[in-house]
Amino acid sequence: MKVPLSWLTHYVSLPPELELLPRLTAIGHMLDGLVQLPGGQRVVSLEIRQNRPDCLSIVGIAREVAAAFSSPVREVTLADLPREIQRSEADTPDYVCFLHIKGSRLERLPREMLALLDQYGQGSLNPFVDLSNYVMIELGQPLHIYAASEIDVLSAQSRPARQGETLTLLHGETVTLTEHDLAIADRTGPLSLAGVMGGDATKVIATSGDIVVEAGTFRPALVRRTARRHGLTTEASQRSSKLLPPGLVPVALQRFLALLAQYGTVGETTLWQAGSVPERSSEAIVLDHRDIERMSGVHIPVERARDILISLGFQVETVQEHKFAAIPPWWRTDVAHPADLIEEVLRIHGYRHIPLEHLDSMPPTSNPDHVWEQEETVRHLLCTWGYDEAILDAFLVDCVGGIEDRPDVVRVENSPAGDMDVLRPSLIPNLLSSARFLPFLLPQRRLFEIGRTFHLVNGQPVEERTAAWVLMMSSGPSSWYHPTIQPDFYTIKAEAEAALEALGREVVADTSSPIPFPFLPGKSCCLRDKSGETVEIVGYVGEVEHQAYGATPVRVGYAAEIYLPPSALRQEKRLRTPRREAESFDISLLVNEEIKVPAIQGRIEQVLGQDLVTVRLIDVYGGKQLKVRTRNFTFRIVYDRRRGEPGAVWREVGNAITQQLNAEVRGASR
Amino acid sequence: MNSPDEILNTFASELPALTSPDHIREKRRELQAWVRQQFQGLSSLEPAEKRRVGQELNRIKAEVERLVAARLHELEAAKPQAGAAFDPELPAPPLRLGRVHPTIAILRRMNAFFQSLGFEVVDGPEIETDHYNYGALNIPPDHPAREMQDTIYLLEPDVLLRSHTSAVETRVMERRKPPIRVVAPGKAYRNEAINATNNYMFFQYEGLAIDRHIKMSHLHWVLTAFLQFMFGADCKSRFRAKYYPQVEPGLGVDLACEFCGGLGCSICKQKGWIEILGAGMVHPNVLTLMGIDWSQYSGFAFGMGLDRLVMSAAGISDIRELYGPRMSYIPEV
Repeated sequence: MKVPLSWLTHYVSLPPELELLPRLTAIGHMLDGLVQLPGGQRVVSLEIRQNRPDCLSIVGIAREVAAAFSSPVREVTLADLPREIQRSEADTPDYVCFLHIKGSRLERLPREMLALLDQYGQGSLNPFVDLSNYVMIELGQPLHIYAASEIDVLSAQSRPARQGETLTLLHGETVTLTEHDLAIADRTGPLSLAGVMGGDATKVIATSGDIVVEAGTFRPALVRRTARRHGLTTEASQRSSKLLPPGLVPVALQRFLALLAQYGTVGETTLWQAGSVPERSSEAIVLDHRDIERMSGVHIPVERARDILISLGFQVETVQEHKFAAIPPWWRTDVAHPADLIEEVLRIHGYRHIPLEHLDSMPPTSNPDHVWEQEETVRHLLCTWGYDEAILDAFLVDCVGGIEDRPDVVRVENSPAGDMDVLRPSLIPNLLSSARFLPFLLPQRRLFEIGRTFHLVNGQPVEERTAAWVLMMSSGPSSWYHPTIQPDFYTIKAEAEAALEALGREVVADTSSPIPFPFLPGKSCCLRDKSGETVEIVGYVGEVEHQAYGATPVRVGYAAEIYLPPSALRQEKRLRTPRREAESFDISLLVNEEIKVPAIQGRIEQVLGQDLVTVRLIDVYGGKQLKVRTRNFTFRIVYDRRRGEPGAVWREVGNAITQQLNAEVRGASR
Repeated sequence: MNSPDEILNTFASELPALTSPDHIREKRRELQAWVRQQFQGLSSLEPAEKRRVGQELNRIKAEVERLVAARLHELEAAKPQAGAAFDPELPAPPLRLGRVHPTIAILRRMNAFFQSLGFEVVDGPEIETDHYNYGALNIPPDHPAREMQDTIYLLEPDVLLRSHTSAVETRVMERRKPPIRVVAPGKAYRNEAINATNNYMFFQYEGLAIDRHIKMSHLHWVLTAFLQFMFGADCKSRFRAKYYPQVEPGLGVDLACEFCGGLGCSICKQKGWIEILGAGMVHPNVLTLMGIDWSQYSGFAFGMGLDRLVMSAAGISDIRELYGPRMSYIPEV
């Protein structure tokens, strides 16, 4: 809201600017700018929040200044409206008044009023229109002037436009209306966009004759949408798209009439009304004065609190020792609760009086949310392994591999960036896309993200907390030192398993379930929860399809994506630690190649139960010295030594596996 | 039969001649087999003798492992390294540590501060319903924030991407009873034009405390201490009235512009102050909707955007760098 300070002085005495502007900011109207015009006049710009449409006016700001500095407001002069109100034939949920003025004449506004409009930034158009603009800026109520010959006030109303109706607006543009637009219309059709802009066909050109002045309280959301749909942000729409006080309609018409009579000529007037005045509660709000201190920590004497409310226009009456009842002034649509009164008292008294009161610490809750800790656990591991963290788009940036066409993707209705409307079902595509921008000569590009992925499950959008990382190996030069082992599938699988284990989740690889793009089938696998009875997939790991990273000079790329478990899982985790000392032995098993390692490990776990600490595969041999279609696996088993001597436990494990998996035990060592 | 020590000494004397790890391991297997055999013979001994011999065998076993490991290490160390002679002055192979995103680095600091005051870090969904994101926060049905131009809606009716992390507050209030003390960092989404200063996705940090006798003076202390923690003990801040639907009374908190020291410049639009967060006492309507009695309990809430904070700390001027592919070039904060 622009406020020419010279205009403000018409209604209230102003303190020096150095006091005025910080005080306005402090009471809720933040200074947003200050301009000095060539003539030396100063115009301040204030941020007016959604709840205070009454302050979208010079008088509204004057009331605030008056309350803040305990000075009186000079009221504007008003004229009487016709006592009898004519009812429009039309029915509308809005409240619209049409003041028909016959024989009006206004050659021009006084120079001083035009100068004030000019300071505000409102140019002169037509004396009647200038006057309506003056009243709008002064009081906050948009007014619109029609040539009386071009409007049928008997049928005039606000109504949704009919699909396809057209209207040529004041600035010459012809718009095609939809049923979502709110129009002022009579029986002939739309005349103007309600609360936004008038129509060209009904505009006033002359400086004398019969005119109709329209003022209304419209449904704010409809006005706002109409203005946005047609790209018309006007002084009127900025006000009408907020909940203007209905009482302002007659006051603005009275003010218009008074000024017209003062500077021009007014003939016979008739007042028409469409719709009814919106009902407002006239009940007093009862405030327990002690609640001010309970909420704020500031003691404000009851007299001071009463005085503040009275200065803001409230009618205040004491009802009990600590309680008073306050009726808000007609221009305040935002006050309905005792807490609103507390805010009114506090902001005028000054937030600077609120003391600093130490907030005692509080012990943690017994059932905390571990989400942040889980993410930190994974983050710490990945950083330790050399991955940089990224935070990327929630939408799929590059649609490759047909991901965007999957039936379970979640789409938005109004994407902020036209072509991006699919919420990412996986973090990996955007990570691969970003990895292209990492320094070209890095032998390995490592990037990770912890964020949400989105899927449709039974038609409902769901999200999963997810961590994913990509490792891209370039064929570029490396350092002088070549490690004997290059990262490969097993490296990233080990990382995924370790990260999940750190979160309390043990997993097994699953090659039977489908692998989603961009994982390369045959060189990737799912990770399935091992501990649960469900067949829940908790991640994917493997090599990445080459088309997923496009032209990036990468020899091979690997990725892992894991779903972070429900935080409660962490509490269920029990680390397998030996209760006493541990013993170990190695066992070599010759098995048919169809028997998978997880099956052998599972059997070993069954045999040793709680005594097992770890079982790790330490050697795989599939050479020509073995029988056809067999492989030799060597496992290192660590167990609680109370189970027995290694030789005995070795035999126990060997016997079980020999019987159940048809394996051949090939020697043992400790 | 040789004594255990004699067998061990023989093993130790033969080891230096073995130059193949396979041969060394084979030798070890032989000795381990001998030890196992000796263990099997223990059952016929008297208990005291059994314990003595058992301990002796365990000592032999451990010594064999030590000798083998030492010899293998010698062989490994003697291997030529990448064709170069051993040179301790050559740079070690890079062991690169990754780094966290600058936003997370700032989040960590903030979480540490609030956790020290007993605030718990909580999380909530990014896909939200209209109820949790707006209705339960006292935001009326016709509020402009609910428009398609401001909120990103999914194709499913009344489902949206949360436009603020205040939605987490409503979920916490719904499932917990006071006292409540939580902070909720996370992403939020709005239908913003994407340019150097605006993005549709941004990070917010929300805080909520509800208990008996919580007052604005507590909020004042918490936020003042927080600002001093983040910006230094001599930072200058101001609290002013500001409307937010979910709080009453509401307030805005500004920091004196660091670029002009409060005198006014182009960065702060001549205001001398830069808005840093919004806060207030939880609106009675919100408490009532969540089943909390306003006459018994009160609470404060605050929320702030993190992106400008992070951009300032990292010295970048384009928000797209922060959440785009070039984040690796952003300095650490």
